[in-house]
Amino acid sequence: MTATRALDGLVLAALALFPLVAPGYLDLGTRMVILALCAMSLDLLVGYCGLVMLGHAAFFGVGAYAAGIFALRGWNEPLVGLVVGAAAGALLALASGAVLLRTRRLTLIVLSLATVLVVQEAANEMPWLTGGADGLQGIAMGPVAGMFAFDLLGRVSYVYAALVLALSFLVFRTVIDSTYGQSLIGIRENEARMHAIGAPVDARLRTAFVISATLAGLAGALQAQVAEFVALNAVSVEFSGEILVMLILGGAGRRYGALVGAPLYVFMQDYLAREDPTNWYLWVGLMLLAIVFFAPGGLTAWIGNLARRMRPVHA
Amino acid sequence: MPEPLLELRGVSKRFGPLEVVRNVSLSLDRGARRALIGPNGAGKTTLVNLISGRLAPTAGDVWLTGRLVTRMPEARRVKAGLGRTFQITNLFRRLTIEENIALAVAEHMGAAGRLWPAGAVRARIEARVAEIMALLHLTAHAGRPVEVLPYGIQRMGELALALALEPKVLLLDEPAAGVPRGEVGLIFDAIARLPPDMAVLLIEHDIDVVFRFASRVTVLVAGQVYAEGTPPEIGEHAGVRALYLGDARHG
Repeated sequence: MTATRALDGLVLAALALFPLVAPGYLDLGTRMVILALCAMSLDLLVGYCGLVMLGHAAFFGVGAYAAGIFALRGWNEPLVGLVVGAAAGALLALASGAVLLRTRRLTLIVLSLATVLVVQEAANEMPWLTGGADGLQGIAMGPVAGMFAFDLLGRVSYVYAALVLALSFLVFRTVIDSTYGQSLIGIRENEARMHAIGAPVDARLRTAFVISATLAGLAGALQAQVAEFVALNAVSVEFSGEILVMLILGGAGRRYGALVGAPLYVFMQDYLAREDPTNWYLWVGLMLLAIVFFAPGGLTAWIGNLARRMRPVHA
Repeated sequence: MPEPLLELRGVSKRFGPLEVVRNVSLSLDRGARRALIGPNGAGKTTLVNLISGRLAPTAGDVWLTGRLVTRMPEARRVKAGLGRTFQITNLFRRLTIEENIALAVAEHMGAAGRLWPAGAVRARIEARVAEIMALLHLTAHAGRPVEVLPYGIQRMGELALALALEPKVLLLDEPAAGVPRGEVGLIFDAIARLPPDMAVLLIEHDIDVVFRFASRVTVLVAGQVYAEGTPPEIGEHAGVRALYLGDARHG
C-alpha cells in the first residue's frame, strides 16, 4: 500500500512538473490531461466492472455541450460550468443505465453505440441550441473562480485541467481501493457468484455507471471550456473508440492505465500526424496490435511485469 | 412447534415439455442434516437452484425462515440466511483464495457497498477471512490465484465462500465432486464440523458419506420424491436399493 501511495505521488508530481519540463507544449499537455480523465472514467466500467462499451463519448459530449451552453447563455464562470457538465453526464447515465445495464456483452456494446448515435443526432438536429454540424461556437469563458483568466499560452488551462484530473484521480482511487471497488472486480470476474454471495449486483453497477459518467461529463466540460468550442464529433462513435484504444494501450483495470495510455495516444497522434500526415492512423493501429500481442494487459502491465522480474528474489 | 428454516411446498419446474422437478415438498428444521440422493438427472441440482433462487419454479412455493421467498431474487435470499456451494466450482478464478473469501465476508458484514470503509471494518474483514482460512486449512494457499490451486483446495474454497455468509440454511451440491480420493476426507471433516444449529442439505453420491452425515435422507427419482426416511429406513427400502444403491448395502 505504501509503495502504491508513493507511485500515486509520483504520477501527481509528473502532472505538476509537466509545464516546467515542456512549457512549449501546454496545449498538448492539456489535451492529454482531459483525455486521461475521460479514459480513466471509462476504465471504471471496462476495466473494473468488465462492462465493455463503445459509447463513452455520449457522456463526454453531453458534459461538453451542457458546460458550453451554460457558459454561453448562463454564467461563464468555469467551476460552476464543471458542475453543470458533470451533472449532465450523471443524468444521462441515470437515464441510459436503466436500459443499458439490463444487458451484457454484445447487446451492451450495441446499445452503448446506439446511445452515442442518439445523442449525436439530437445535437445535430438542434442547431438553435448546439450549433448543429458547425459545433457550439462563441463561448467566452470568464476567469476561473473569478481570478485566473485563461491566457494565450495555455498556462491557466493546463493547471486548471491538471487540478481537476488530480482530484478526479483521488476519487477514482477511493473507488478502486474501497470494498465497493473490490466488489466491482468480483462482478467482473464472476457475476453469477456475486449474486450467490448476496451482492446487489445491479445497484452496484448503476452506481459505477453514474460515477463514471460524472467523471466523463467533467472531462467534456473541461474540453468545452479550454477550447471555448464544442465540435459535433465530441459525441461520436469514432471518439468513443479512441477513448477505448487509449485505455487498452495503457492497460484497462489498472491504476495508471488511463493516465499512461491517453498521453501516449495523444503524443503519438501529434508526432505521427506531423511525420506521416496521411497514414498516421496506420501506425496507431500497428502500435495497438503490438500491445495486444506483446503486452496484453497494456503498457502499465508490461512495465509492472518488468519491474517484478528485475526485483531481486528473496529466499 | 418451531417453524422450519426451509420449506418447499409442491415445487415443480418445467423446461418446455420436460418436467424436471415435480411437486416436491420438503422441510428442514434448525440443525437438520438432510441428504438428497438420486440417480443422475433426477433433478437434484435443479432443486438446489429453485431453492437458491437461480431458477424460478413453475409451480409451488419456497419458504425461508418463515418468509415466502418464491419470487425473491437470489441475492436477497442470501441476505435472508441461505448459502450454497456449486457442483461445478464457481469461484473468482483469477483472484486469490483470500480475496475470494474477503468478497463474501464483506458482503455478509454489509461493508461491500462502501466507498469509505473505516480501518476498523477492513480489520474485521481481514480477521474473519483469516479465521475461515484457518478453519478450512486454506491459510497456506492464501495468496495464490484460485485457478492455479489443486482442485481439492478449490472445493474447500467453495465451502469457505458459503461459510463466510454464516447461513442459517446451507445447500451443499456435491461438495467433493471431482476431488481425488485422498483429499475427500478433509472436505467431509469440515462438513462434519459445521455449526450444529445450521440446517444442511447435502447432495452426495457416496452412500457411506451420506449415511454417516445425514439424519434423514430424501431420494429423488425423475424429479419426484421417491422415498424419505432415516438412513437405516432408506437402506432397507427395497425400491431404493434396486434403483440406486445396487450392491452398496453394508452390514
